[in-house]
Amino acid sequence: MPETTLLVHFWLPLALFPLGVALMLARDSRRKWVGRVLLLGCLLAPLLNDWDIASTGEGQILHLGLMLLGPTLMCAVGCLLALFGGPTPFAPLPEGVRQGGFLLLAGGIAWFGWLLFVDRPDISGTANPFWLHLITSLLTLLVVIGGFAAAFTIMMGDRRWREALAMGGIAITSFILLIFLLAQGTEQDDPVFWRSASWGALGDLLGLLVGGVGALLTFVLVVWIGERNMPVPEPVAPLSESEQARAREILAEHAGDSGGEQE
Amino acid sequence: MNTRDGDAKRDWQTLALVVLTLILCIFVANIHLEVRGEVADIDIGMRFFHSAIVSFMLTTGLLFMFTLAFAHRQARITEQALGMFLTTVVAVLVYGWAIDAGMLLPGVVGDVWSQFSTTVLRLLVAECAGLLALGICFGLLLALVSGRRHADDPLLELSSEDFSAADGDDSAE
Repeated sequence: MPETTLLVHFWLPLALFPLGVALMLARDSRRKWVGRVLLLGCLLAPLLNDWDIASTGEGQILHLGLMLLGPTLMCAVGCLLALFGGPTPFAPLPEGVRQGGFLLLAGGIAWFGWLLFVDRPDISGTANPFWLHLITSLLTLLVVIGGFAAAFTIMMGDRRWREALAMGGIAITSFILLIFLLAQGTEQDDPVFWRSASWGALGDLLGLLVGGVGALLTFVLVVWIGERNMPVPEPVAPLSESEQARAREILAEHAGDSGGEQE
Repeated sequence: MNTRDGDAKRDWQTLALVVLTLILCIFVANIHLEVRGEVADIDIGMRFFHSAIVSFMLTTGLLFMFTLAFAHRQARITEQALGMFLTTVVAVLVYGWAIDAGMLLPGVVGDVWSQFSTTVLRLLVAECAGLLALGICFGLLLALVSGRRHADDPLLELSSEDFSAADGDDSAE
């Protein structure tokens, strides 16, 4: 079992985070408040611990997350500015913002490239062991998702050649970069490590896909079994005298109003 | 998109084929570039097995929590909640049995918690990579798609303020 500090400051918040999100989405206001408090606690709990980043996997994950926060936010803000700076009918931004958004997006991707080739995330001079896993997973998924998006845009779109070229460019660039890393590596990491990380990442990604889809299918099966075994609804009792009288009053009130409007 | 019968199915089959081809290319690239036994040493089968069981376990647990969070008086969720809870428990038992049977991740300490936590951390990294990839691809696609300018609808320019012809029709009634 893990140490108590890791349990309280990492694993418990991680386990309760989905519950907080689900409670926030509920309609009941009390549940929403419970969800907000739970989410706040889950976000604050890791920050309140004095982490030994070098020796624990949990600390290394948090370190990696913090290193990626900057370029991720830059890409996200760039996408938002590019989207709402264009000819959208809702909440449009000023004209020049769109180009700035694309520049920010390019800057975020360049930041990722700088982290990859120049200044990889280190912990006391040693590489973060999850960095290689992240990059190989990211490049693999960019190839697959970019290729899918390009094919989808060509087949389903209406003269979307520019968009298809952009998506195809992402897929091809990611594939070339992946091949380069597997063959040549980087200055800080030998290609042997990149090849090991890439092969392991493929197993993890396929397992994630199979396990996740299997769980969703199991959920569908459970709901279907529950619905199939549900009894036929019982007939509702007829209206009582007082309920009938009330219904007649409401009908007379609304029928009288609509007759007046027609005249 | 072609609207003839059966074309939607063919389109999605083509897309699935594209995705499978790309995955195959990546596999072939990895195997082809192996130089010093990196592929053989990693034991991809065990990584796949552990990831599949743990992601199944975590997803069913997550669905159980969602079921509890969205429960209300009119909902009949007993079967759903119980089903997801039992499925999670079964997945945990299967995982524990697999660890006891010696199906361990290479390079990780052999106790259940170390195996489980290492797999969860790797899955977290893979999921973050997935979210990043989806965000970059579809964020850029959305920004590009929304940049198309359309000509104004000519009907919007027609005036609807001249009622002289309409007044004549009303007097007839």
